[in-house]
Amino acid sequence: MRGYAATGFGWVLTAAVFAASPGLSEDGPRIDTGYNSYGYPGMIDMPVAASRPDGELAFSVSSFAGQTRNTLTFQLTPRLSGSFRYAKLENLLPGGTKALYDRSFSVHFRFADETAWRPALAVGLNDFLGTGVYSSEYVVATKTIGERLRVTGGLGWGRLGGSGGFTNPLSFINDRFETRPERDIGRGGDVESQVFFRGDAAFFGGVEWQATDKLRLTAEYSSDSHPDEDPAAFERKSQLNFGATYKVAPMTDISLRYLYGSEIGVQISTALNPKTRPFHGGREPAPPPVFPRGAPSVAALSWTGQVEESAAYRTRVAEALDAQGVRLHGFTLAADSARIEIENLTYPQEAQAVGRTARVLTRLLPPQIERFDIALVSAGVPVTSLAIRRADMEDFEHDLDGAWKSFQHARVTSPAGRSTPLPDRYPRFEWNLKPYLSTSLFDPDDPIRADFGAELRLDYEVVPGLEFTGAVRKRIAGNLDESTRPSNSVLPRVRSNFNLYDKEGDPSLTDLTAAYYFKPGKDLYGRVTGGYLERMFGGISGEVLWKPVYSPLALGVEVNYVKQRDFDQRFGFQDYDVATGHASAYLELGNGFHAQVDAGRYLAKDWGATFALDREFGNGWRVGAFATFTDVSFDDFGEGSFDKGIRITIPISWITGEPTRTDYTTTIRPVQRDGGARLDVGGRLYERVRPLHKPALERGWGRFWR
Amino acid sequence: MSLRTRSLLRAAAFMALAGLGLGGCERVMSALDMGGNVGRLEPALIGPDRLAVTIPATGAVALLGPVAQNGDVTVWQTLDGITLSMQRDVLIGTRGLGEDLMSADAEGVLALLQAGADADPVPHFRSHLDGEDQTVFRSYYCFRDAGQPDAGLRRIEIRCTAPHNSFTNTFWLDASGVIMLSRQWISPTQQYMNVRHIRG
Repeated sequence: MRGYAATGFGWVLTAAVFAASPGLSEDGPRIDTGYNSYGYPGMIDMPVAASRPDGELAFSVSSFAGQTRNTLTFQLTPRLSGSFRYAKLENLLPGGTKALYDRSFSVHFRFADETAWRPALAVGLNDFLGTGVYSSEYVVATKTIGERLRVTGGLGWGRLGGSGGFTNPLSFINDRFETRPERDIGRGGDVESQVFFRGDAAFFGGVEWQATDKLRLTAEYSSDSHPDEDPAAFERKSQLNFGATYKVAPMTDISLRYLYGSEIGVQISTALNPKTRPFHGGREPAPPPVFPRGAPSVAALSWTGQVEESAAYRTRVAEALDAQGVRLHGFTLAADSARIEIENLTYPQEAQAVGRTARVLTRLLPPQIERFDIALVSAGVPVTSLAIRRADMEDFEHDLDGAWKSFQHARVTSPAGRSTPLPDRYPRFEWNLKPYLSTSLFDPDDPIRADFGAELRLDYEVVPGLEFTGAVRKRIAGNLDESTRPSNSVLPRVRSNFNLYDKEGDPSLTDLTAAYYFKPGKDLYGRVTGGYLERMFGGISGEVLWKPVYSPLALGVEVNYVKQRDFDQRFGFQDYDVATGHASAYLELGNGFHAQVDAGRYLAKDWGATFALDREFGNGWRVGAFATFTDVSFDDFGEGSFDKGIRITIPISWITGEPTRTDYTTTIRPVQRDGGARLDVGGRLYERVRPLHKPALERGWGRFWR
Repeated sequence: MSLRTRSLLRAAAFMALAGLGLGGCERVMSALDMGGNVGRLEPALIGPDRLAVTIPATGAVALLGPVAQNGDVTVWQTLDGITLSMQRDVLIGTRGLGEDLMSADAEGVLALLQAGADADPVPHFRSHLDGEDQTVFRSYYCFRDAGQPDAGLRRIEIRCTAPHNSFTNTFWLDASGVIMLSRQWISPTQQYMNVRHIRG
């Protein structure tokens, strides 16, 4: 979009002003799409062919007849949503008192939009990995009638083909669709594609009426026969469900339902959208204004090339940058240019650190300096160099399209050679004391456990690239040590003894390493790390990454030799050792999507590959999923069949509005086993380098002038 | 003189909601490495003029002094680190307000103020950052009214419209056409600001 600005911008916008009919969005349907009791877009138990707004992350809890479903749903694209569900079923098995805890995934894809004559159409799969309790598939159509009424009808299979079921119409294509094979429940986790859309099918449908802006009433005919539940759990008198949903806050709904002629159900759904920041652009103070040369009060003394003079400039620049949350790493004045190395300590977008640095330089450097070469330094290594003309800073500061113009004029390159640090930059010792929160999910004995405590972290940078770091944790409160489930793994227990680490490791030395970062060649980055690499393993780790500064593709290799640490997480080791490592490919797919493949040998000496897809929002939010397949058989792997999970990163700046690079990342695995487990070494290169490279700088360049 | 007070209060409320309301919010946040490490620049004034500004939507009241001049654009700053960029007293940018006006073009509006009552409408563009830090442009068409005398000044309304939003800026000009007072649109959360230019 910004690209239009230089030339055809006015035309495009002028056309938009006269072409767009005013108030289009206000005249459209006003029916809210809710989350059903399974947490995906739907009515009560049944789906609708609609989606929630792109990027929305929702959490819903529903309860009826002894079943509680907790669902996290992410609207991955405008059409596709994915859900992860953790359900407790009290009355699943006949006569049993044991509750079943069930983890399941769902996907919902809207493949056709509603038109004047055609309904919207969607397809979905439920529980396609887990033990299959909620296993079902559907095709659904939804049509809006007027402004406040919406009608939905669809065809369900599996659990959704149970009531009023008839011979599968797909058997017209092939007889094998007539029967739905029994699932091999055993371990769960197998993608059960051979059962999809097989067996009896049944119709479902419903009507939603948006009575007021906040109240929505729903009636549906459910095709769910609850085949796995104990008939004594609840009496299914009717397939009709009735519900009322009330919007108590802009993103929060409460629903009350009367289900199957006998039961009352309740649900609360709440959501947030990473695209919407509570503090808009952020609460940081205004940047220093540019001082054009020739304007009054500029530091007008000219630079004669004296070393003492350079030192004086350097001191003033360092102080001014420090006030902006940027550390001056190197400073060299030449006849008409200045090379400035900076470390961004503050801003989530590197572009903002660059912009503020360039503003400071216009205020402090002598007028014959025409060009600023600003190098972004990470761990003592210069990663990216931006050549910015001083005249551009003066010309574009107040330009309508200043962001795009200044990016177009900046030359972004990969600097050759090493950094040239200031004499007082190294060595540097830092420490900090922070709280930590560590959680463990989905243990049937206690589905949420957590420890809270203090972490002391030390960091000693000796020379550029060489860092000694370590951290010690002391628990203050928590119950992670209450886990009593012994590992039943038949593989080397590289991860499944995590509760022994929780139990015995207090206080614990989480890591203690020496790391050296370097740049072995153009577009190449290197790392060697030795010591106690993570809480369960210590040893040595080496990595090389190839990533051109402009490229959306990166390739890397990592090789490690590690030994398992003692459960008390002090200095001792156990007997188990392993050579592990991966070749990795990283690719930016565009629109914020990032793919990663890591192939190699895992901690339990299994060979395989990890596939990951993340959506990264421009403000630093990330939501992604990963799955690892190795040569460990599903039976040997145990519950879940293979390693998989979802991960979410929340930037603290999004919450507080303050500029900070701190973020909170959590990985949710349905179950932690030993197959497909990767070493968790700190300082991996890709995520250090990528934010400093051209694609990320470009995406964040809107903040250059902030 | 604190345009930031309200947003700080909101931040505090939000932090409390987030379970971090431990008191001494700023200190907690800096201890947790959560921000507060960008200093507010001491305004180094370059001229005697002042702007008296109120933003009714947030209750903010401030006096700003000029801290930089670039062509015919002056950057005005409060003591607590907020700047307004004014091109001959027409707002073209704000910083430090949260939902800031990132840029705007003032040429058309300035021409309209000097033109007659029957002047043709002019295009007007403004940019802001969306929640993902992408620059978003909005385009408007601006019309002026005939203007009328008001307390010894000439009061001119300029109405700028776009398909989904519109605003009306009001300017009070002296006999030589210099803007003395104005009421100008900033952004949906900040809404309008009232500006009095005190010439020193």
